[in-house]
Amino acid sequence: MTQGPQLRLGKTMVPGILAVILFAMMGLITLNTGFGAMTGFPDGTAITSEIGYAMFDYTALQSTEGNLGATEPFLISFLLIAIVLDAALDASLVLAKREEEGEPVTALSSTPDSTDTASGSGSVTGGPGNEPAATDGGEEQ
Amino acid sequence: METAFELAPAIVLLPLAAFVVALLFGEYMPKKGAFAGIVATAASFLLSLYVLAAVASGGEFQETYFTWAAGDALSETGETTIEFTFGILLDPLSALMLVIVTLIAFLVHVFSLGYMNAEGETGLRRYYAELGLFTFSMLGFVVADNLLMAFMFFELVGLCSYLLIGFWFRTESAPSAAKKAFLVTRFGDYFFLLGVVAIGATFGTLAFQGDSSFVAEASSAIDANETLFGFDAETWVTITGLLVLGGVIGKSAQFPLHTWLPDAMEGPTTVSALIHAATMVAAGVYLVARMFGYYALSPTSLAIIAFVGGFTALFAATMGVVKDDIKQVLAYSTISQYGYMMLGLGVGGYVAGVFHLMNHAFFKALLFLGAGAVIVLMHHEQDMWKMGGLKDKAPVTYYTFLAGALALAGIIPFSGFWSKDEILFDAIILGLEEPIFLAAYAMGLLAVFFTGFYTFRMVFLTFHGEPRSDAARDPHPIGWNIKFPLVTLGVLALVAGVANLAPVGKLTGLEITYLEFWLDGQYGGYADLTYSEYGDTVPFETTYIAGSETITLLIAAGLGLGLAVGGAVFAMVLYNVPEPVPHTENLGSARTVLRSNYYQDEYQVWLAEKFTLPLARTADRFDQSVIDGVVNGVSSVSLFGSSRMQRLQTGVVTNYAALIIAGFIALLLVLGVLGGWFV
Amino acid sequence: MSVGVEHYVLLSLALFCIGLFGVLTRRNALMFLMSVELMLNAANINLIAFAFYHGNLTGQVFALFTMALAAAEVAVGLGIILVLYRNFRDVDVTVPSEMRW
Repeated sequence: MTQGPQLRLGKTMVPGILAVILFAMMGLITLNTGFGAMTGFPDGTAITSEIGYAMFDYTALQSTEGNLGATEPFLISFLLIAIVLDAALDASLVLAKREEEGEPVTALSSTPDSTDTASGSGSVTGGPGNEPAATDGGEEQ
Repeated sequence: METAFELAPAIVLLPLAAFVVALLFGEYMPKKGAFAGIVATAASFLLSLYVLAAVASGGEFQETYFTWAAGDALSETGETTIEFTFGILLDPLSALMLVIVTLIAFLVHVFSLGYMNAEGETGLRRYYAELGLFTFSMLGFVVADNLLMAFMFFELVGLCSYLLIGFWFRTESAPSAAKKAFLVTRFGDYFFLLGVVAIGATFGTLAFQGDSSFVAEASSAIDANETLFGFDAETWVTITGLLVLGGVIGKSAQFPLHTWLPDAMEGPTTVSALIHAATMVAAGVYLVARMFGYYALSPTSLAIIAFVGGFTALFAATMGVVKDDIKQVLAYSTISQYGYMMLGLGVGGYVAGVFHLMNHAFFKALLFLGAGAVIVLMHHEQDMWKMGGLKDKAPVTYYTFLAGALALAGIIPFSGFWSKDEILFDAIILGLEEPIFLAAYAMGLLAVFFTGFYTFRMVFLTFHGEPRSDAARDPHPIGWNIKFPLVTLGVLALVAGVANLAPVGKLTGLEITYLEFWLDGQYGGYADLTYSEYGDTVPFETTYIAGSETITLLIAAGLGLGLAVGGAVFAMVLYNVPEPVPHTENLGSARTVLRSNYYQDEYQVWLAEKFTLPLARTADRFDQSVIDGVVNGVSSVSLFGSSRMQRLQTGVVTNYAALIIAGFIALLLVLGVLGGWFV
Repeated sequence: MSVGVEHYVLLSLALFCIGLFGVLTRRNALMFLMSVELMLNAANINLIAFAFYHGNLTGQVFALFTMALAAAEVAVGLGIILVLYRNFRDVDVTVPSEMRW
């Protein structure tokens, strides 16, 4: 018979009060702010196409109704995000790599007595090609 | 003659150079620094004579050499700046004192060759260096042109006295005596310092002479009926004068701060001759003479000076009667004679006081040096009951000592008679008009009898009769370096009275009171520091007995001389016998009181233990618990706070997040309330 | 009643505070990470709402990028949790407490 995960109640919940207080305060502030009426999007506009045109700098194709023309171009951001995602993938792989000789694998480490090519590389952009023998329990080579 | 005045600082600085030379090179010099001191003091003496001649031919000199602080300060009389300077003032009084001090310093240096070097004393380099430093300090004090510089050299002189009294510091009594001297004089100097500060704060100036001196300012303040610090101007002048007098009483060993001088005899006899007879204790009286224009403005302080002087004269003379140590008798005699000088100054007898100062310097130094010669003769035995019959064995010593004793007792025609008689004359002509001074006169007169008695008791016990010990039968030979100073001073004790033969001048009508003319500025000098100027300021009237000066003169002189001779004859009857007996034991309990110095020492120790010690303990406890407590408390608050703040860093990330959120909420609250977001 | 922007803001605020509650109280590192995700998504809702309020699509595009970033962050975060587990043998966030004096 297994026991399901238990929610930890009691003293650990005390810091949560702060979250409640924050909600109350910001709620009060929001309700006291006089927002205007919502200007929605004009009828008949294809939102997704507009998003696409904005993202890829297709200003000629963007509609000019309402405030839609004021949408900013995001091409550079798109490219940057691609790089960032790539980097994140490599980082997570490096972090997840199992240790080969009982030492945790750290980025930019250069242990001279290590014969392992992967740990000696020290560079993150080694590409996804350096797949070690990732088995449970580090085994000696 | 301008060059004399330009060279004047050398008078003060040459002994300082001797100090440095003796200190640095004394070990390598043949007499351990004695020649440096002798040369320096001889040169200073010659320069002082030169300066004396320059003043005599109609000159006076005041120059500021160095301003070490100057600034804005609002004084009570409206001066807006104050300056602290080093400068010299050469006028008849200071020129005279320079000659006296340098001459005696020179003779003491020569005498030391025979007293210290020939007797094989050790540590002589230190001795001559300290003598040089002392001479420098004393000369600096004499030429000081403002009160603060005088105070600084006053203190320096006290330091040298401490060093020299404690010369044989490996004994038990000498360092203790040195400490006692320093502390007692320091106690008086504390009041002196208060007086200096008060005068500076009141008048904005500390100069002795000139239109901008504090004397002139005080005099104009009194004339204008100003109020100084809430007191009437004359009262304030009295108060500040009495504060300065505290230092004078300490340094010149007047009652009640006289207790240090007999103990100061622990030092070498040459030191006693220089410091505790002729120069350092003269510093107090010299200061009163220097500031006489200031004291003359207030009759109360003059009365107090006269009374203290007269009382001390009698008080010390009674104690000198029962002492057995030759130096102790001379010590009490010094205290008593300085009492006379204070009496003389207090009754407005400026010339009389200064005349006695000069004569006393010579004959007391002579007596001390003679005692030093006796001590050398007696192989360092100082008890008079072990001496006797020395007059045949050491005639030079005997005759010079006798000259000094006759001068001390005041027997005509020796110098002491003329000056003491003039003091008593000035006292009686004032006392007949103001009865309070008559009491001081009476005490001074009675002390003449005791002075004659103890002086000749000392002479007869030491030199006459049969030798009472082996040392007296076979005395140690003494050389020329002891005899030469004795002879010089002996001659001076005999003839120095010629400077101011006032009774003779008054009776015959001759103008022979040279010292009076000298101090009156008739040869040279500043107009506001003259005897006649002081005489105009002193607010007392004097009368004569039966309206005639001659009769008063003869009566006063006759009384003084008669009592002195009477005391001498009484001593002769008792002690000029082959085998004298201690007659003082017949006095019984009076003798015990006198020998215990009226229990003044015990009284002062009791005062210190009962009042100063608990006060000091309370102050110490206050300092340690309150002041240190506050300082430690600040640091402990900081430590406590920091140790509590440390616990905020738990290392658990969620706590840090909670703290961030809490701070953010607080910030929002503040901004919201100030920005009106919640209304 | 018409749905004004303040309703959207309140919704995003509620979501944010729930996420914040989780960050402050949860001890499991994975649940901690999930709460962080909640907060990111709350911000996204805010962005979308105000894009509609101003009639401008910038907010929506920005929200897309935020989502991409959130994914990247989760990838790295999970890697960190793995290393944490290797060093401390426990995914409780209160166990590693060495970042202090």
